[in-house]
Amino acid sequence: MLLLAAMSLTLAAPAPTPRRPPPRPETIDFATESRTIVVTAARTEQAIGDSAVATQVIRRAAIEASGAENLAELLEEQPGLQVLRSFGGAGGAGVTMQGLDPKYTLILVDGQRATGRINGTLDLSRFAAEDIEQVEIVKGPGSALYGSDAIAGVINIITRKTRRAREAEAHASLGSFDTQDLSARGGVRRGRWGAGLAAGWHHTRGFDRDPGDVATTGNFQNTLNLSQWTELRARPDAVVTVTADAQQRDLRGVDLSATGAVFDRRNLTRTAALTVAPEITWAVPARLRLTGHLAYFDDRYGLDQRASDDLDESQRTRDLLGQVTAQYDHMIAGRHMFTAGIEGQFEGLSTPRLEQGRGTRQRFALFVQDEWRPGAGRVVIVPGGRFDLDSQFGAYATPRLAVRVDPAPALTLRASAGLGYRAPSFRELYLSFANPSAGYRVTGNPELVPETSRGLTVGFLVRAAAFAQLEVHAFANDLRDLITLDSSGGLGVGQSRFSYVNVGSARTRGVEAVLGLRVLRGLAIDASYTLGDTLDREHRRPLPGKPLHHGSLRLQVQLRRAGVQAQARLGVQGRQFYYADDGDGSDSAVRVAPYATLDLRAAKDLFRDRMSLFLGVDNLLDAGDAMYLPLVPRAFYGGFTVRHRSPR
Amino acid sequence: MKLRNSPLLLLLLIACVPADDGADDGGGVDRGIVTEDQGDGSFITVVDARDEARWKHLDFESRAEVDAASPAWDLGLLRFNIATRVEVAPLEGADFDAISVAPASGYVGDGDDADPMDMETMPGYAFDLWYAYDMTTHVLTARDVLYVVRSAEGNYFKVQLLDYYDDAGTAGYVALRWAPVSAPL
Repeated sequence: MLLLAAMSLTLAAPAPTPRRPPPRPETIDFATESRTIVVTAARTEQAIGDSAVATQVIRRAAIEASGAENLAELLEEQPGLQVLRSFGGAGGAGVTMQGLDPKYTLILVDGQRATGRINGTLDLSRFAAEDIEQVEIVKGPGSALYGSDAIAGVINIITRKTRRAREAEAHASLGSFDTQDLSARGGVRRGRWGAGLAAGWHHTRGFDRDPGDVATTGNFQNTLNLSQWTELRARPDAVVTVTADAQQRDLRGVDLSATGAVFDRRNLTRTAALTVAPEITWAVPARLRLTGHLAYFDDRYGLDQRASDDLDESQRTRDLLGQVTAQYDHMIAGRHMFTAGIEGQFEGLSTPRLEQGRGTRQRFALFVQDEWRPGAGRVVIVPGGRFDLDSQFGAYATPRLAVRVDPAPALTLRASAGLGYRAPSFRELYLSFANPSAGYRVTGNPELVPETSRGLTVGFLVRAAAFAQLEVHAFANDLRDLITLDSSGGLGVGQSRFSYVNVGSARTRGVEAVLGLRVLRGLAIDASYTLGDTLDREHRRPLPGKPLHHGSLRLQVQLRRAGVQAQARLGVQGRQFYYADDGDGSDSAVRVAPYATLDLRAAKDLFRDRMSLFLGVDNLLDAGDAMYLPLVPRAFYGGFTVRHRSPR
Repeated sequence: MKLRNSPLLLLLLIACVPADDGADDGGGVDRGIVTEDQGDGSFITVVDARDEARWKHLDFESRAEVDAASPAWDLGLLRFNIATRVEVAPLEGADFDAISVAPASGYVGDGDDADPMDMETMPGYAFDLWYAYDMTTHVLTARDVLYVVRSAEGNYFKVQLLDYYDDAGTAGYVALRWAPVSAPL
C-alpha cells in the first residue's frame, strides 16, 4: 500500500528527481530524512525509509550547512567515506569506500555515468556544490544495476532543479589561500515548463605544505562552470528534460623530481555534458524512460621544465562517452515493482599515451530487477541482475539479491549480496609510456580481463522514538583478478619495464556504525565509526592508505528563532600505511600517524531567510603533511548567500 | 523555447586556450659534447648522452666529440653507460688534485661481452662502477672513483665523473672533470 502510494506520488511527479523538501534547514529530523526520495538504490524513486538497500543521503540543506564548495569537501564529512587527494600530480580528489580505492566507486550525475577518470580517479572537486540538490550514496555492490566500477558502491549526484515559479540565488565566499567562490543561479517554472540556469566561479591560490622546497602541494585553481536545466511537459503523460553543463578548470602547480628538475605543471580541463530524457507514463503503474547522454572530457596536461625544455611534456586526453538507456518500470499486482532496461554505451578515448593514440569501446547491457513485497509488506526481496556485453572483454553477468525485513516498527534489517566488476581502463589495456628520466617504461596489456568482486553487506537500523537512531552494517568484499603493475623483465639499472596484469587479490571487511541523537530541541549529534580491515593478498599486507579505524563526530546547533546555526565536526583517522618501492622488488612500509581534523562553521539568517551570512574554519588543527597527507591546511572563510523565492 | 539554450551552452566554453609557449632554451636539441677549460689545467666536459640509440664519442686530445669511425675516441657514452676501447686504471677514493702521474699498473679494458643492450647491471665496462644507483628514487650519483685513462694516442688523463644530471635536473648529461697526467715513471 505504502509502495503504491509512493508509486503514484513519484509517477505523478514530472521529473525523475526528488521534488521534496523545503530547502531550508530541517537537517535535524529523522522523520523528514526517512521520507526523502532517493533514486539510486533501485533506479526508481522511493522514500529512503522504504528502500531495500541502505542509502545514505545528503540533502541540499545539509550541503549548505556543511559549507562545502564542492563534492570532495562534502563527501569528506560523510561517515564511512574518506577523500584521498593525489600527491602532487593533477590534484584529483577521489573517494574511498569500504576500504576500496576510488576506481571501485561509480560516480553518476543524475543517474548518468560521469566521465574523465585519470588513473582511475574521477576528480570529485570538479563538481561544484552550488549545482547539487542531493547526493545519494549506496554502499556495497551496485554492478547489478549500473555495471562496471560499482564494486564498493555508487554515488549519484542529483543536480538542482527549479521548484518554484521564480527562484534566484547568489553565493559568495572568500577564504584563506585567496579562495573565492562565486555562484549564481536562477529559474522559473510555469504551467508546462520549467527552466534553470546556473554559473559558478571558483578560484584558489593553492598551498604549499613544505616551504623548504620549490614544489607546491595544493594546486592553484580557476574553475568556471555553467549549467542549465529545462523541463517541458509536452502532454500530461510525457515530460522531456534537457540538462546541459560545461566546465573549464585550470589547475597549476610546481613539481620537483628527485633529480632536481623543477616543472611548472598545468592541467586545463574542459568538460561538457548533454542529457535528453523523455519520460512517458501510461496508466499509473507503468512508465518508460528514455535517456540519451553525451559527455565530453578534454584535458590538456603540460609540464614545463624550468631552465630547460628537455623534459617538457604536453599531452591532450579527450574522452567522449555516449550512453542511451531505456528503462521500463511496472507495478504488478501491487506487490512487484518490476524494472527492466537496456543500455548502450560508446566510449572513445584519444591520448598520446595509448599505443595507437586512441581507443574505442562499445558496451551493451540488459538489467532487470524485481522489488517484491510478499505478505504484509514487512519483507522486501529484491532479486536483480545485469548482463554486459563489452567489445573488449566480452560478456559479464552481475546478479544481486537484496532483502529487507522490518520485524518491528523501530527495527529494520537489511542484507544484500552481489557480484561486481570493473572493466580494465583504456590505459591499462593500451598504454605505451616511457619515462627516460626516471628510467621506466609502462605498457598496457590488451589481454586483461575485468576485475571481479563478491560483496556482502548486512546491517540493521534501530530507532528509539524520534530522538535516537543507530545504523550498523557489516561489509565484506572479495576482489579477484585485480589489475596491478608488474615488472615484466628487468632492463637493468634505471630501465625498469612494467606492464599491467590480472594478478592481484584483496579483501576488505569491516563494520560501520552511525549514531544520531536528537535529545535536545535544536541540537543534533551524529557520530560514526568505521572499522575497515583490508588485506592485499598478493603482498600479505593492508591496502595502502586505508586506516583500520576512522570515525567522526558532528554537533549541530540550530536556534530557529535567532536564525542561527552552528556546526562542529571532528574527523579522526587511524594510522595508515603506504609502501615505498625500494626498487629491488621489495617495499618498505611507511606508517602515517593517526590524525584528526576539526571544522567549525556558523551561519546567521537575515531578512526572513533571504540572506545568510556564514563564517567558518576548516582543518582547525592543521593536520596534514606534504608527503602522504596533502590536506588543505587550516583555512578560514566567510561569505553570504542571498536568495529570492516566490511562494510555491 | 527554452530548449534552444541547451546546445548553446555546450559551445559557450569553447574559448581560447592560452597556449603554453614554455620555451626555455632550445628544448630537445642535442647539445653534443661541450668542454670548458677550468684554468687550472683541468677541463669539465658535459656529454649529452640522452639518446638511447646513439653513442657519443669523446676524444680527450681534441676535447670534443669525434665520429664513431675515428680511431681517436677514448670514451663512448650512451645514457649512463660508459664504454672505452682503451685501458683504464680505477683508483677508488683518490684525490683528483693529488694525482699527477699515472699509475704503472692496474689497467683494465672493457670486457668482450660489454653491450648496453644486455641491460645487465654489470655489462663488463671498465667504467661500470662509476655511479651509485638509488633504487627508491631512481637517481644516479657519481661514486668517488678517479680513473686514469691511457688514451688511443698513448697519452694519460685522470678522469673524475661528476654528475648524470644537468642543472635543470634532466638525466643523461654526463659531466666529467679531467686533466692530463704524466706517463708512469
